Amino acid sequence: MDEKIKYIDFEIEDFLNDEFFIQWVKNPGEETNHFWLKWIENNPDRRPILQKAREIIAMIDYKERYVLSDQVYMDLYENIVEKSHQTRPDGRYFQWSGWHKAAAILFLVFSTVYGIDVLNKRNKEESENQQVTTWLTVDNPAGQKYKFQLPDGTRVHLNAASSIAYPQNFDGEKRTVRMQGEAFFDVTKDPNRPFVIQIDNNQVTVLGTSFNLKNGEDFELALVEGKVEVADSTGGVITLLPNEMLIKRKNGEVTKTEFDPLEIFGWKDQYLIFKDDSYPEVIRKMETWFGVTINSTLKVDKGWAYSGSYHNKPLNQVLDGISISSEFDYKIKDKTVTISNP
Amino acid sequence: MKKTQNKPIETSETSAMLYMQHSQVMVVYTEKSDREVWTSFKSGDEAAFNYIYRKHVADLFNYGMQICKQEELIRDCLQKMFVDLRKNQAKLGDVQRIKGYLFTVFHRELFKFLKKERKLNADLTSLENEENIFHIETSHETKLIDEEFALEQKLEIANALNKLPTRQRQAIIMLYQEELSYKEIAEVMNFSEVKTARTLVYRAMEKLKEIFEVKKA
Repeated sequence: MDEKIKYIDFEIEDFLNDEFFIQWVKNPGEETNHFWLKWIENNPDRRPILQKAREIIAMIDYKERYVLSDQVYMDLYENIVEKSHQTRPDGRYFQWSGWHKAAAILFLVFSTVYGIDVLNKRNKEESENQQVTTWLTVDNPAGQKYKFQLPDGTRVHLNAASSIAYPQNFDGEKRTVRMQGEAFFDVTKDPNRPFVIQIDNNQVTVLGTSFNLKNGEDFELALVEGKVEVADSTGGVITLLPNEMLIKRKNGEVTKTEFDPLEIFGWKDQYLIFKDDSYPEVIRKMETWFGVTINSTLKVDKGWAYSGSYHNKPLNQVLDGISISSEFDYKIKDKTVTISNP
Repeated sequence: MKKTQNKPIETSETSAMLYMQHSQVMVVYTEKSDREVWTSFKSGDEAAFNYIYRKHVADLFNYGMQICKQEELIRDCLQKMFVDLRKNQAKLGDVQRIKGYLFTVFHRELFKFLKKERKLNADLTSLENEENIFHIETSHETKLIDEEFALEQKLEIANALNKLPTRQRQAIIMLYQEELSYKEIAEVMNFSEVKTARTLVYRAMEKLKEIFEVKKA
């Protein structure tokens, strides 16, 4: 049966009972995103029901969550290893070494880091093998997005006002690129050659995965599939799992949160999204999206905020949409927009 | 879009490179499927066990505490389960999803513990009185654009959910929060048919439908 037809008659309780739908809400992947965004587009009247079902699934949580303390986590691990080795039938004796203890502790901070010997060796090999590479740059002005492939087949959606530099050939032990602005990556799997994105003071390492990376005011990394690690210049490493988003603010604040896929990388499928955006933020987004300059004499209240989503809409329709709630006049002349009080 | 040829870019990769290579070591486990991790564990790979423990122990602990709020008992039970798994590792079967498997084994183990405990200690809160386990909260931040429910509605939904029979609440929380499949939920809750788990959730949602349909004020 065609999946798309199956969902036509779905009521809210059916969506809430459907594993494929739940999977999309909890762990959106590129495929499920594609399916459901398309479905919403084709069935706009069903959007509220689907949105409600999404919300219910996302908001259900334990009333009380019991957290295992670091001490108990460690003690328990130690006990398990000791108890199970006392009577090992094959007579192998297990030593509770610092190696294991370190591994268990480090996870609590930022996933596990071990295998120092391997690293030192590799490090030396690496430095002896330096060679000159030709770099290519893709540079998008405001108003233009671009979709292309890197030499290894990695697919990149580059947002407006963003750029990426990459070597003509990935012939090193890793695939290094540098970027500014925002891009969505679908990285080709290659366990032997990690894919590394160098961005200001952060370095993002992946093997094969898809994610959105934005480096504007803040550093924002939203992971769809796979696993990535972010290392900063001081040596701290943060691991990100699917459906998690890492935000590093200019003031040094670092947070991990969940995210709404439509809000974060709807842009690559032509969704222009506003979410409780301030007036300057709304202006900035439109300028970048459409490649225009906006002059505004509009006076807005202090708490002014706008939310809305536009799929494939021209500038005048977006302005019409925003002006419904804010009541302003606008004029578009060539690449300049003037907004004023009515 | 313009494409230009640049001079080579200097990369500052000294300390950062070290971490990239750490990840290469780590990735041995994280890039593997559950089935492969489990096979490594069965063959006695200590790092694979470490990975399994790290990934699941916190969820198991929280799950156990929902059923019985005695931390020491839950800890003993977790310890017994993991020790048994390690002692019998070579004899264990294949596992597709480690989380579902551990929940099933842990749930069974926990009820064995509770049964024993109850024989020894008559005062222990009876589990037949299950009213106050698996309570649900509707978190106020769902990170979605265009929220359809007002705060009062969310509270009303939480209220209604907490009035459902315990088994329905448990199935709902395992489906949405623990992200287990119906098949895994049926195994944990010891249903002979997967359909039973699916029906539990469906009935609950049908009952709450009236609340869902109220228009946002």
